[in-house]
Amino acid sequence: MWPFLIVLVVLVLAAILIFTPNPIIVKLHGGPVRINKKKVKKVMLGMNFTDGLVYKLFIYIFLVIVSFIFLYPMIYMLLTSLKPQMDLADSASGLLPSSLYFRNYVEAFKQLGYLKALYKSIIVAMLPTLFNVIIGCLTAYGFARFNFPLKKLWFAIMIITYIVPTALISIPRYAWYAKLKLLGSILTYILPSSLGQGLCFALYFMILYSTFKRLPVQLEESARIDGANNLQIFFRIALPLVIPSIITVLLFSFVWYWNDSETASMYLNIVKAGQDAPRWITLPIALQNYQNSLLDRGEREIILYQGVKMAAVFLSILPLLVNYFVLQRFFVEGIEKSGIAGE
Amino acid sequence: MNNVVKDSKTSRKPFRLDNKKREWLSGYLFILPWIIGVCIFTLWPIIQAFYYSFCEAVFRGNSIVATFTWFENFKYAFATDTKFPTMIREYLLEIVVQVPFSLTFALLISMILNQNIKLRGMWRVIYFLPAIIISGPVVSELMSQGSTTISVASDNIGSAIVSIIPEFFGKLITILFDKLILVLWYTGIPILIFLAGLQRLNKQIYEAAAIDGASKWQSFWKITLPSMSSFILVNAVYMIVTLSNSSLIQEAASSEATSTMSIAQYIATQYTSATGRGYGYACCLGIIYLGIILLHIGLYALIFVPKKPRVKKGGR
Repeated sequence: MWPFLIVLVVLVLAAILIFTPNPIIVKLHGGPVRINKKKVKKVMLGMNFTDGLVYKLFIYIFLVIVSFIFLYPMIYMLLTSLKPQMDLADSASGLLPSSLYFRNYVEAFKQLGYLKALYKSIIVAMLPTLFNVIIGCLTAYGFARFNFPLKKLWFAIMIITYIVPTALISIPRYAWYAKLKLLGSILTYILPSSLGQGLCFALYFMILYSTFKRLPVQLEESARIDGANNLQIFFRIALPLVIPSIITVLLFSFVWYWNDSETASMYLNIVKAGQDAPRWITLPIALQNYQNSLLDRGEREIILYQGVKMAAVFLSILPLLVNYFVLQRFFVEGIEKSGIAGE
Repeated sequence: MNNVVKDSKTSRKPFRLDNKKREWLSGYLFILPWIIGVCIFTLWPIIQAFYYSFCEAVFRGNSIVATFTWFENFKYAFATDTKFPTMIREYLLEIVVQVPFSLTFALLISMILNQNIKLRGMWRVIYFLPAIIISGPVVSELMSQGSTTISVASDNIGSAIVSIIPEFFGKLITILFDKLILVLWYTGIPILIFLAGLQRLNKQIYEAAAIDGASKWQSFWKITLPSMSSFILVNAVYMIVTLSNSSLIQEAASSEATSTMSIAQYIATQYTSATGRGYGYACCLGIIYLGIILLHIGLYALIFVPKKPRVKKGGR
C-alpha cells in the first residue's frame, strides 16, 4: 500500500504548490517559514517535467510494481518450497513459511533423480545447440556475404520456417521417426539440428546474419587480395569477429532446448523397443512425470506435497538461473546489440 | 572449391563471368546444409501435410494408409467437430487481445528504460529473467497454484467494472487479466528488441521537433512510433509465433471453455492417441492453424511494413 500513499502525498503537495500564492508561509514553532514556491515547483516538476521529482517517483514506482509482477511467481515458488507440511495443510497460513524446511529439497532431489536427469538434460540441450551454432554461422555468412540467384526466395523460406507452427511440422516428422524407429532416441534432436532445422533456428540465423552484415567488407577484401580463399576468410577473419553473437546464440539455444518439454515428451519420453524405460529423461520431463504421479494420489496428498513440488520446479530451473546470472551480459546485450530487427 | 580456383587460374579471359559464378557457387556451398535440411525437414512435411489434409489417413503398423476424400476433413472440422471451432475462437480472442497489449507494454517499458534511469542493468535483468526459465512444466505448475493470475472476476471492484461494460469487452478484459503475468513473462525479448531500436534513434530529430514546437506527446506519435514500425512488426511476429506454439497460454484459456487442451495438443492427440481421428485429420487441423497464424501476421505486416518514403515534388 505504501507506494500509493507516497504518490498521493506527492500529488497533494504538487496541487497545493500549483494553486497557492507565492510565497507560502508555514507557521512552525520557531516562527513562520517562507517556502519559495518557484524553487519547490522546480524540484517537483523539473525544468522539463521529465526531470522533476513527481515524474521520477512515478517511473520508479511503476518499475518496482512491474518487477514485482515479473518476480511474484518466482518468489511464491521459493517461499512455498521452504514451507513445512504443517503450513501447507493449514489453508489460513500466509505466504511466508513459519519455519524454513529444507527437507522438501532433499525429497525433490530424490524424486527427480536429479543428477542423472541433469546430465541427460545437459546432453540433450548441448548437442543440438552445437549444431545450431555451426550451421547458423555457415548459413548466415552465406546469406550475408554472397549474392546468388533465388536468394530472396530462400530468405522468405527461412522466415516461413519460423512461422509454421511446430504442431504442423511435427506431424510428418513424427511419422518418419516412427517409421525409422528413431522415437526415443536422441537422433530425433540431432538430425534436424545438424541440417539447420533445430528449435528456433531462424531466430539465431537472424542474429548472426545481422552481425555478419555489419562487419566491414574491407577486412575480408584485403584478406582476399592477400590470397585467402572463402573458407579461410570465413574461419580466420569473419568468425572471430562475431564471437559475442555466437555466445548469445549458444546460450539462447541451450536455454530453449532445455526448456522445450513439448518436443521432448513427444520424441524422447518414449520407451524404445528392447528397453524398459525411456533413455533420455530430461529435467523438465522428470518434473512432468513427478507432477503426473502426484495427480494420481488424493486431493490431500497433492496439497501436502506442494512444497516438494515447488522445490522440484526450483531445482529443475536452478542450472538455468545460475547460468543466467553469471552470463546475463551476453543474454541481454547480445540481443540488444545484434540489431535483429534493424535495416 | 579447389577445382573452381584452378579453373579461374588457367582461363583468365572470361574473368568477370567466372567471378560471378564463383560467388554463386560459394554462396550456395555455405548454405547447402540448410537448404538440404529445409527441404527435408520443413518444406516436404508442409507439402505432405497439405496433401494428407485432403485424405482419410491412418497409421497401419509403420506406414500410412491414405484414401483421397477431398474436403471431408475440413467439413468435419467446422461442422461436426465440437471442440475445434470453440478452441479456435478462444485462441483468436486471446491472441487478438494479448499481442497488442504485450507490444504496448514492451514499448512502454523499453521507453522508460531508455531514459536516464538508475539501476538500468538491474531492471533489464529482472524483466528478462522469465524468458530464461519459462517452460511447460514450470509454468503449468505455477499456474495450477494460481500464482500467475491477477483475478478480476473474483475481485469486487473488478466484477463491478466487468458487469457495467458490454459483455464482449468484459470478456476481453477478463481474458487479459487472467493471464496477465503469463503474457508479461513473454515480453522479455520484445523489450530488448525495442530497446535496441530506441537506442538507434537520433536524438537530434527530437531536438529539432522540440524547437519547432512539438510536444513530447506529438513527437512520440510522429517520430518514435513511425521509426519503430519495423521493430513492432518483428516483435508482433515473435509474440504471435511464441504464443501460438506455447501451449500454456491457451491451455489456461480453454480449461474453462472446453477441455484442458491447447490446439497444438489437440492436433497431436489426433494421431498419437487411439481416440483421435487419425493422421489426415491432424494434418487438416494443422493446415487450418497455419492459415490463421499467417492471416494474423499478414494483418500486422499490412500495418507495420515500413513504407518507402515518398519524395514530394515541388516544395512544401
